[in-house]
Amino acid sequence: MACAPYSLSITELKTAVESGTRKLLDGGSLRYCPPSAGGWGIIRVGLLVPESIMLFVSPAGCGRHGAIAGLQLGFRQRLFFLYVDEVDLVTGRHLERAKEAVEEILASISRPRAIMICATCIDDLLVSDYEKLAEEVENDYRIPVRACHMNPIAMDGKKPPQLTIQKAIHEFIPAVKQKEQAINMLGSFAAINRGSEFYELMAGAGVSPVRHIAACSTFDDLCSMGRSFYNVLIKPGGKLAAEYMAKALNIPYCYAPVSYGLEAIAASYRKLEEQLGISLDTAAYYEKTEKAINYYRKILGSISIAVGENINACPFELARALLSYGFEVPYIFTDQVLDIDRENINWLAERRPHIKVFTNAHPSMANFLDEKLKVDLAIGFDAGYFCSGAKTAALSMDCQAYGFEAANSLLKEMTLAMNNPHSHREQMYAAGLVL
Amino acid sequence: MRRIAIYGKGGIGKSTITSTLSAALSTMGYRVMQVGCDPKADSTITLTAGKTLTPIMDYLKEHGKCDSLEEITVQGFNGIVCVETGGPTPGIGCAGRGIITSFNVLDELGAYQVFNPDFVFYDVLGDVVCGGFALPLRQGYADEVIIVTSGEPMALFAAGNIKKALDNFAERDYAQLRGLILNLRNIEREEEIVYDFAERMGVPVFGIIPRDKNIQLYESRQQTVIEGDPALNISRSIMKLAEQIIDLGEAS
Amino acid sequence: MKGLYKYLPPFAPDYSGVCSVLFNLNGIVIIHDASGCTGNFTGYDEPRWYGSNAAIFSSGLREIEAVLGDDERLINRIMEAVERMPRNFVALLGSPAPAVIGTDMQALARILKARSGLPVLSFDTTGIKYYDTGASQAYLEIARNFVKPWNGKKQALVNILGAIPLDMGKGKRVRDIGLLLRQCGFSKVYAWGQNAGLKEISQAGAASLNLVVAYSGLAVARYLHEHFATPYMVGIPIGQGSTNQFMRTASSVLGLETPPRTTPYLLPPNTYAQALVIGEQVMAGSIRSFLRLDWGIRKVNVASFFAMDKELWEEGDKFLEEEDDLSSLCQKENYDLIIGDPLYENLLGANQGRFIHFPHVAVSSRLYWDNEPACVSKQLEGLSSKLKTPARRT
Ligand SMILES: Nc1ncnc2c1ncn2[C@@H]1O[C@H](COP(=O)(O)OP(=O)(O)OP(=O)(O)O)[C@@H](O)[C@H]1O
Ligand SMILES: [Mg+2]
Repeated sequence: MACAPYSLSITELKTAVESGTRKLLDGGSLRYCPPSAGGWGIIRVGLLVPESIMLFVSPAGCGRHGAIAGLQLGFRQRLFFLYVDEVDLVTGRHLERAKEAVEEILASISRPRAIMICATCIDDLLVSDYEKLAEEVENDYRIPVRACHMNPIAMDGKKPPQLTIQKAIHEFIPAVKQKEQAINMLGSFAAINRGSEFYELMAGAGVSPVRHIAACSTFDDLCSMGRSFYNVLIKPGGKLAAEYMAKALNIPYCYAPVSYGLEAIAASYRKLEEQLGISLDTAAYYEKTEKAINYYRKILGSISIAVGENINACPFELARALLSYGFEVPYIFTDQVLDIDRENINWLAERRPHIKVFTNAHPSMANFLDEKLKVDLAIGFDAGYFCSGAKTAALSMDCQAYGFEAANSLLKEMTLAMNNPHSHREQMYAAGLVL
Repeated sequence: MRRIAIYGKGGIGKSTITSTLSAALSTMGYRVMQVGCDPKADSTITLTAGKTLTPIMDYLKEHGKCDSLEEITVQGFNGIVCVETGGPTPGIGCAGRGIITSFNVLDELGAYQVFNPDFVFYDVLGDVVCGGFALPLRQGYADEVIIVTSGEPMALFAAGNIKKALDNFAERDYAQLRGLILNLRNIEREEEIVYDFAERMGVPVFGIIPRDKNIQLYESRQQTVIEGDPALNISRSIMKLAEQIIDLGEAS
Repeated sequence: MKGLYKYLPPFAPDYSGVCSVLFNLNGIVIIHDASGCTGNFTGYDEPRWYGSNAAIFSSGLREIEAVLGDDERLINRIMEAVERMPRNFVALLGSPAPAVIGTDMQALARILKARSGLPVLSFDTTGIKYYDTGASQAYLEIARNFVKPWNGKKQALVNILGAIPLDMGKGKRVRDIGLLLRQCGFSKVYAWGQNAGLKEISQAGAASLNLVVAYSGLAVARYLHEHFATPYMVGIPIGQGSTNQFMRTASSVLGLETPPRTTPYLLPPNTYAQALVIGEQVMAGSIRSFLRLDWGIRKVNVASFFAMDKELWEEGDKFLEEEDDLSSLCQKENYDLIIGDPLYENLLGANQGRFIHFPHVAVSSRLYWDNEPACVSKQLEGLSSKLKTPARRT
């Protein structure tokens, strides 16, 4: 029954990436879905729009995980479902029924400021026009309405749902001519932690406020994002949103990613200096963080760490950071390889050619628990699941570290996990991950 | 029960020939059921004379579900059971999927047991364009396929495509191609062209239907030529075709 | 309006029902989907998924394949898995996307069977129907494919049918029922969908009795009755009265004496005048028996969003098609005791009666699956709350 789990050494991966591979699983196999798979999901991200509701139009089954996560995490009250049946599939009459549903919903709740209508895979295949539907509903009720898509069937295309949903939530923002010396942060689901030095640095450079959709408590706050003069994209998932805003709202952007390695963090700051035309004095933070790393490294010792992909980081960058802090990283669990990962893969391959890279999704992972991999700490629920004896730091998307504070908060979370471990299962189920 | 799907290029004469065949077989004493699988819902128009037949999709659009065969079938000329799948509102929904849904409705209501026909004809729109239009080929529906063609290049091209689809499905135990019906367009060397083609495909041509104005004449009265005047030449060639199709069953 | 759900989450879909039945049978199970459907099952409908090695996969369907009808790639991917991990059989399940393009699951199953030499089951699941339909079909399919012919003498063997976690929870209740059946003289107790593997299932023809514990087990019980003349009984023994009846009937099948009886615990008369049990029909009906026999409540109605069988139907029972159906039923009837999944509470209206929480995994998923109330052979326990006006949406 046993079969060795599919894996590549980081050296093999380096070669594969050089010849164009973008995924460990290049479409050639069935996909395993470990319990740790998933993230925020389309519904939860869509409901980041303040004072909004969402109408989810789909066969009954499609909305189940999102709805249960909504009950767990408290957004179910803003979520409505219209079930599509077989006759709808054939006749397309669910588009008309969606209008009726909106009418009935609006009659039963206090008026929302925005409505998101969400379609699924089946409407992709039927080429149903939800953008038109949104426009019609908007005209009927004079409430801003946008369409979004939970269509994993489009995952490998140019417009995968994780990216289009971030665009959709920013599509409510109206274009404003008069810009302020303020910026928006894109790509993350949470605003940058209050404790990050980022805010101080920006304020010192005359850039204020720093806006993010999750920090908007009203729909009007969201609209004010249109007044910012610049967008900072800190995670790749916000790319389509950034491109859209550059074009439609005349807000240029740059990519200055969340990173955990000191040099990478410094590089993001340098990029911001160049792009925003400001100067940021980060030297003191650099030094302070260097000290913090040494301090935590002493407390934790030379622990071994498995890195997953279900984390608030690029796995290869995180692995590199952890190695440079002085820890060992024998295993990485990930499927995707982004362009930005290449440099990190090369760096890792040079120093630790034997790092094993597994993919969460390969069918052989069904038997993975028999491997009984041993590490001290796992970062990410997926790594924690597959290395079942390890303590787990979730490094979740629910809060967003940035700048030097990212390294600090990572080390704090690692220490907490090592000293005060929680049940992986309970923690993971409480997170409401949706695939 | 013989279950035969009729395919062929759009406008080639599938519905005309299927209906006339149904009529012919019914006059020979067989119970016949004809299922039009086409959003145009015009397959059985020359059999239903006057009665209104609600296509299954239209019925579902209005009522959501269907609980009775009476709502979606009409017994037309000589008791022929007529069904039309119909299709969605143009531009939305999915016509191919509509055929699947319609067949499910017929199954659920036990149509084949209730009417217990000797012959079921599926008159399928144009080319095999998607899963839905291939549905009559699947196990549990038609066992035999007949393609209507003329000697025109586009008609033969379509016939070739249908053959290809069937070959692709070989591993799936789908319906078998039995042969071609040549519906003459009166182009030059037409019979020779079609016989050559049939030989290359390895199937027989049974039945050559001449072009005949009487077809349109009776069509305008919503009749088949069999109903209109069984003594006509055209009626007699269709009767002959019907006999061949009966023999085909007895031979196998 | 029809199909609009404002309060309840979507219930467990048909493909989850199939997967749940096949979970422990050591097959390779593939949902033909883009992964979201599989994620529903693995994350939200299967409490056993965590830590298991069940080979349940998503086909990883992508748009281009769907549009081109490229089934060959699916077949190749499955064959690759079959060759890598030897298992007992393959099952192929549909989801909304293949339902739209009309993928012919049966035909793919025939091809896979020819290429792999393994038994291949196929299911036309669509995600439109609920888990009970899928589970019911899956039970039938495994009976048709794996139960061996049997002409010998019947054995002290009982099959428990319908025992999937979506209805029965993680396993404690089924084990408790198993203990009772052993007391009745059954030496082999095989719960399909829980502890029974294919080897145990193959012997089903030798059973003296089949016990149906959920709607999903009914069709297969009838099938086994038809093919092996095995009698079946329906219901879960809850409380003393029902447990006595249950033990009497079960042991009589083996021609054994009834084990000692206990007396039901009766509430003071008129504590409750009329009760409603909302849930899967067999469980709800079993709770009804408990309320009658142990608590002396005469009028008890059953209402369900899931399939209901005529045989188990009583006057006043209601099949719920929409959320509104439940609200209006409660308004009309004024029950002073309601039992059901906690999530129904928002729909019960300003009733002043008592509401006993009895979670149903097919409804509330992981929200309560770690603390299922015990019930087999016991008084119904569970969190009980005074009903109050439901929270208004703002
Ligand atoms: N042998 C014939 N002689 C004269 N007219 C004919 C003959 N066959 C068909 N026609 C005429 O050709 C027209 C198209 O035929 P018909 O509707 O049967 O084609 P079809 O293949 O069913 O088309 P579609 O693909 O659109 O369903 C009809 O008006 C019919 O009268
Ligand atoms: Mg026609």
